[in-house]
Amino acid sequence: MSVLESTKVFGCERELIKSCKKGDRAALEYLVHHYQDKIYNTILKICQNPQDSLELTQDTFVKVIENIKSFNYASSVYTWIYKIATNLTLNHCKRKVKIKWASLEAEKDFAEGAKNGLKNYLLSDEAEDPSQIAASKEIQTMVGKSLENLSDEHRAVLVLRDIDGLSYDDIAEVLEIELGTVKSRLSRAREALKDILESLI
Amino acid sequence: MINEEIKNLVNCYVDGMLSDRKATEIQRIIDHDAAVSKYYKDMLRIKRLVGCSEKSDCPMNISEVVFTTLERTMIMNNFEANSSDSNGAKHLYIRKLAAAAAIFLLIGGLSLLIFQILSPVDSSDTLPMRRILPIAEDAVIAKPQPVKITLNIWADDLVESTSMFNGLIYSQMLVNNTVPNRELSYSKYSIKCSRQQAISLMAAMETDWNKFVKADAAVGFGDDKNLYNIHSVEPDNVITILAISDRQAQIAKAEKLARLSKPGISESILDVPVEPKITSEAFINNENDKDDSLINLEIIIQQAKRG
Repeated sequence: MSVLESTKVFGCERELIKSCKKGDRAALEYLVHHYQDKIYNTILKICQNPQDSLELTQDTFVKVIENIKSFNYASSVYTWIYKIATNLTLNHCKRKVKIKWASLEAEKDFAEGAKNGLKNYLLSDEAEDPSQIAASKEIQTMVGKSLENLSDEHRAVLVLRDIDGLSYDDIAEVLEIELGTVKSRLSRAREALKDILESLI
Repeated sequence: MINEEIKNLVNCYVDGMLSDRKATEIQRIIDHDAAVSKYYKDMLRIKRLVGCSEKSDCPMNISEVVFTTLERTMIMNNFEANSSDSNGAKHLYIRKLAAAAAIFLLIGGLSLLIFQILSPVDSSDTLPMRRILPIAEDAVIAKPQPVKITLNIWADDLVESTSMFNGLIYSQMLVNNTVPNRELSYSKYSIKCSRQQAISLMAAMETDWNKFVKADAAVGFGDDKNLYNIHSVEPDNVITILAISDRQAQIAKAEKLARLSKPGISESILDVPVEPKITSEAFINNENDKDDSLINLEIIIQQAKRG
């Protein structure tokens, strides 16, 4: 069944979950297919390892399907799936031994052009179009490495807000923290990322 | 220096998460405060930069992998539910219990063995198998007080009689048991000996008894306050009393002899059946009599009044 056909059949989200709860294989496949790219991207941005991200995405959907019967519509499906994915990823990150600054130091040899481009973007008063800056592969790598050097909690909140666009309430729900904590953690995460990027240029 | 609250509000403003009223207030602060303005621009740039980072799609359709994993998990769960694991667990539990019981038995057996090896022989013999006796049987039985017989003998010739009696003491090997006390008018012998020795002595005295003028006996028992005086006593009488092993019968006999010895009373008057005479030989040969109680024999030989 194609995604288009699935959307037609299942209509709204509640219908989809109802079918999933009944064990409808097509509905479950649609659920996986519908969310796998978003979840994979989020996990990859948090854990920064493609192979681990793929395994974590698979684990997330295994857990989603195993527990779909206990889903009680207290939050939206995607918040619930994000919660499972983020928990699995953060637990995975805690287990992994990471060498943060060492890897950043090793990657400090970025091309001068990319450095200058990022410097102009960060320091000039005029607000440039970030899509032009982000188009550079080199700058993407620099941002990725800088994200890698944030703490797991800061990286998670930044990814959920600035990449996935989740609301503060949803972030609080996904990370199981207070709304005030989301705000302060987001401020500190952005400041920390700015400091890391400035140290690179 | 911007305080944390303003920073949080600026970030909320950047994310468009403020109400209109608060957004207007923050916009006014940004317009009038250069530091806040710079902070706002920095946060906005960072947000945009992160937001423009490359999106990565999942490299493959993972649904097949997910369902394969789920099916494998289900098969594994069914296998675990239907497998003999639960039976195995029960079997293992029983085996653990049996092993624990065997260990306890082994420890008990070893303890008993060690106890038997190390404990004193008498304690092992008596402690576990001690027979609970009735109180009367188990109680300490008071040993009967020794019989005390005082013989007062009057002789015509005190020296001869004393000499004769000394010879008997030697011949009966009672020298170590005798405390003699010789005075001018009498000789006193305090003899502490066994029943058997006392009977032998009395039997030996029987031969020369006619040399004495008169003899009286006073028989006393420690646990009986009465003193039984037998007048004109014969060695047979004393032997008869001594030969009786039962204390009550002994007292009864002494009492009877004392009564009979009173002047004017004969055995026929009392109409008492004639008892068989107990001889000293019969007693000495009686091996069943194991009574080893001591006899206090006091013999006083004194000079009879002449004429």
